[in-house]
Amino acid sequence: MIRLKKKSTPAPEPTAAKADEAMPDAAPAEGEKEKVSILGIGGKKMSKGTGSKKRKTPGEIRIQKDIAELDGGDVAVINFPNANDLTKFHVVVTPDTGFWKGATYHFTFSIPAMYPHEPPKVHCDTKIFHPNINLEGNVCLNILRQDWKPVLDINAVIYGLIYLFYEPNPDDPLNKEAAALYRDDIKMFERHVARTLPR
Amino acid sequence: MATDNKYDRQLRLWGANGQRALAESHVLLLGAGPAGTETLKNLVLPGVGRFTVVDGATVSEADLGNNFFVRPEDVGRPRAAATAELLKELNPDVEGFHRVARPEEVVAAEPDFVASGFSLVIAAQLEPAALQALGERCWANNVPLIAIRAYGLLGVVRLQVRRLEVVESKPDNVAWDLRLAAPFPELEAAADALDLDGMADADHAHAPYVLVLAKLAKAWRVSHGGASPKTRAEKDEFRALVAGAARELPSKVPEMNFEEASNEAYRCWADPRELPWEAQAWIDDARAAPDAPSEGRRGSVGSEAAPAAPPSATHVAVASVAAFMDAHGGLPPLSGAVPDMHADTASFVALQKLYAARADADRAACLAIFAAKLAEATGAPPTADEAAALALVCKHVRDVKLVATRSLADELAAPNLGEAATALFETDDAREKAQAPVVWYAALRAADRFFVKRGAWPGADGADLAADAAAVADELRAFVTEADCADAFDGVLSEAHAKEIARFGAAELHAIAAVVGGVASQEAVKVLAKQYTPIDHTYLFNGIAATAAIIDV
Amino acid sequence: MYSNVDKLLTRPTSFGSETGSLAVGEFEASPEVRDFVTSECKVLVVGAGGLGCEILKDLALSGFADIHVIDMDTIDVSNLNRQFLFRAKDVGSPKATTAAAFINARCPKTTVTAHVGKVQEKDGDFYAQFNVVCSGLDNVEARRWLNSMLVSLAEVDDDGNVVDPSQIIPMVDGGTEGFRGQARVIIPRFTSCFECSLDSFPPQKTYPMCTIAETPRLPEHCISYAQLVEWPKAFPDKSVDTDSPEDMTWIFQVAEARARKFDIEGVTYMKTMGVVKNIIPAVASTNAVVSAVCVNEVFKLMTLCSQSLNTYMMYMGNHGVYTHTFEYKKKDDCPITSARVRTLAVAPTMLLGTLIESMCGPDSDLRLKAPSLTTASQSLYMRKPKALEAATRANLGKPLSELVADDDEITVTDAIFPGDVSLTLKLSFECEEAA
Repeated sequence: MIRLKKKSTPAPEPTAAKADEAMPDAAPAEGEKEKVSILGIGGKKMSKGTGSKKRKTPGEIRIQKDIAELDGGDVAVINFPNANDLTKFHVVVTPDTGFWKGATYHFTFSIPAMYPHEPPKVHCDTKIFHPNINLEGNVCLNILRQDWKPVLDINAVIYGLIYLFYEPNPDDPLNKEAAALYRDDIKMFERHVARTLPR
Repeated sequence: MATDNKYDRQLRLWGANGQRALAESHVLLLGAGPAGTETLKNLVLPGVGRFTVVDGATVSEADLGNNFFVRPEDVGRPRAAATAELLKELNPDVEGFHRVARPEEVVAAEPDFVASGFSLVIAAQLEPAALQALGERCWANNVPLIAIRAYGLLGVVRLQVRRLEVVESKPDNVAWDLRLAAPFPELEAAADALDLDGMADADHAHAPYVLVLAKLAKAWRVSHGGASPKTRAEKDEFRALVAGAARELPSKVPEMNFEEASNEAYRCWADPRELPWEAQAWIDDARAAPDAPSEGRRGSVGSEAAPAAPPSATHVAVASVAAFMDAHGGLPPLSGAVPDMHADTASFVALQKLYAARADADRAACLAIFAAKLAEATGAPPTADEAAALALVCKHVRDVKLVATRSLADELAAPNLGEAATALFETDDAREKAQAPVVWYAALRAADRFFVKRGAWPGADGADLAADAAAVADELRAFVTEADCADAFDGVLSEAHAKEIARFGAAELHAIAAVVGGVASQEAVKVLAKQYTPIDHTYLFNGIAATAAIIDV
Repeated sequence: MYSNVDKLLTRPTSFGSETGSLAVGEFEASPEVRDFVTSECKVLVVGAGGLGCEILKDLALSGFADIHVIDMDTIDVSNLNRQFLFRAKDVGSPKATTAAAFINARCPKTTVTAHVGKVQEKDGDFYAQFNVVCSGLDNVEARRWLNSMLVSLAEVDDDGNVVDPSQIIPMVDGGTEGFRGQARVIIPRFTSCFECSLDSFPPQKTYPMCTIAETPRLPEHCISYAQLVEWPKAFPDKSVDTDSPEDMTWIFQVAEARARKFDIEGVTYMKTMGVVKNIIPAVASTNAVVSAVCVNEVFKLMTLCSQSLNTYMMYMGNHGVYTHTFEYKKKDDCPITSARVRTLAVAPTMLLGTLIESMCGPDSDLRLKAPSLTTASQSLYMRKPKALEAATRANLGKPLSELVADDDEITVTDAIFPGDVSLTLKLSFECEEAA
């Protein structure tokens, strides 16, 4: 039983027979007779709460942890418009190989309040001719939608984006024209990409 | 507000069919205490057609403390009138009636009133003798009965149903009938037309796995004397064949449709003639007795045979399906439904149409048999409703089942306590054993025995608690001994259980009544809508430790 | 009036709270227990929807007289099949006030106080006034927030022990989906909490963007296309109002046209609503069961008159009824129950860099490696990424008094903490004169 001595009683403080992992200190004194309870009639609401102090939500803590480990390497640079808001940032990808080598692409990340229960939202702000990114800036990356799991993190999404520049997937395309050209005439695709590279 | 349908959230469960069945029902409630009114509340809200409340009490102060459907100004009025009024006010779609009379007296004096004209009878806190009589009446007339009680921290919902025809049982996992082990000609033709080698990569990666499997399975059968993979080695070999048929694309991305094909390869040897046993049982029953549906469960002690009723359209439809199967090598009509799969739009839609067309043809063949059977019996062609019943059976042929519980009479005369008590052996924890729902089932039976002998519940107001507890303990011992279960309960049952029953003093706590009302109304909806699977047969909620179990005693 | 309840509370039992596997106190049968329920105990009901309406009724008829309810929603037609405190005439009114008024009229001994708004708008002082909280919410976000708030109210010392037992406010939480549901008891700091079980709630069903855009097969794909692709094109500055019949009709019609183009069957208005609003089926019966199980637990926790649910009851009613009661274990790396706390008295002149140094290295008592620090409103120092480190580096040389207020809480994350665990640093400024 969760057994707590009255507030005035000196240590040992709360002890618990069942929840002993939480309260490892000691078992109640032998032969204790006094009836006590932590709740209900024994637990009058006398103390004040901790006031209106704003606290970090579990989602915000997780975001902080993810961000503090964020490392895009040389290919991705991460910028925060407001250093005090960790839920909105830009990722600038500069592929070092592949069709889009040397060009820079801007992505806007916004992390929902339900993170990591819900995936980050990603938008491509730079126009790109790519089988998996359409002209509206939607990105088709499995872990951004159907394959998202809370164990994944923001780093995984950034690596996923970088991978799209190395190995586009023309078989499940978002930009059908780009995919068809990629599949049917890779030289032509390469020329088209080169023509449309942002400068 | 984006819908004007107040039933939207429940239609997503039981659909228009279920809603119609609910709206056409008339439910009788015997006993307007909290368990009864809570049950009825949860039936009035979703739109049951009509209800009738029978109760003989006058609204008292105690009612105000545990029954939501009485108000202070109702004190002194008949409880049947007050509760019916406030229940009806919940939903203008529902018609409500009431009768001021003690349910026990109505059951004794007018057995025909309670057991005819109602779709379902709900008996709340009925005294043991009256409940037994009511059970027999309902069994004889094949009227479903739900008996409920809230007793201290214990709640009980008991369903008695002799024969219930469920077509839309809505299993959690859909058993797709894709016929890969016995392909129909159109499926085979479509698979033949699939040129896996000559396809462009994009098409190859979007060929529906069903066609891929149909094609590879046919090739296998051709090279194996017409037989599908049988042994474990053959099955592994076939799976490897399927996996090997995938292409390595330039993008290095694995083909998802071929991954699906590997996962679903077992469908190439799963025999579509094999139906779930419940479906097969009804089909066999209907084949043997197309005109005289048998009882779901036979051999109830001392009960009358069910009156000869004409078979329902659904039963005739099942008999028609049986005849169809006999004429088609045991294959049931195709349901026509196809799961989503990795495919391009055009191939997927074409596949859907292929299955739908075959299902239409099978249904038409069943309908012809059905029409002939009905013409034989009534001389008339099927009505629109009858044709709809046939179509529903064809679509859900793998899900159909006849539901039947043990009768109350059997339970009271010869409780199968031993089987239910096996739950006691699943744990070594003495504290858990002491709170096993089956233990409290026994304790409530002891309370009933006490009541039958003394005409009062143990621990009633002003009673000697210790004396009543001792008497309950005696009854408890006698009950488990008579039920031949004393050994199973040895060391589990203690004086503490008898004391607790006396402590309860048959108190009706609102929260317990509300648990009971929730479960009972859920079972009522299943029975009235003939959907899902009702309980078999007793649900016991132990509010002490918040454990519960189904007990088939 | 509460003669049924009285029997339970004034007669002794062998199955009091102290005999259960989650024991919270020792039961002593007496009329005072009943008086505590009817005149002292203060209960907060969170949510006045399908579960909330039931919970309010069940509490009132269990004798509880001082009940508060909080809900931000207004009444919709589709609530009427189960939210029995509302009628057609109430559509558009706030749920909390309508529900409170109904109970107050029907149950004259009970006073329900309504709060219209989000749970997140209330502060710790608000929640601290209640003896128990019973929640019936339809979303994970609000439950997560509420759980975190209630656990944080039970303050612990640096060893993880609760400082003041009267700060422990149990949370009894219910949830339903169709014929399925669950009820659970959370005793802050003692049992597992909502966050411990977060992974068992499946994320919303979504479809791959490329399927929606290029290879639609199901009506759901067409509806998602209308919502995610066509709507932003047509109305770039306006998001979909899922409660507006006009918006929903627009999406339905666009989805229907797309389905026709691809020869896909099954796009209906009802299905469109289901997909866009992520509608979960809801019926009166399941709400009744789950709410009543929750209130039964509230009643037992407050009176100690019987054992407690330890800690989770699962209810599945599709096929027969399957009920499973089990102890949901604490998650070792739960950011809530496993959060560490450190109280620190520091001089306001201490530099942030010095504070961080004091927490790092093999000789410090915390032995952190590379901590990042934030307050609720600002980033104090973030190790990565580069730009953020650069933006916060200057703070290292600033005195704490410039960065945080006295009594502020600082969230510290570090790679040495498992999973999502963090450390909360409670700083108090030492008075200069005293120091």
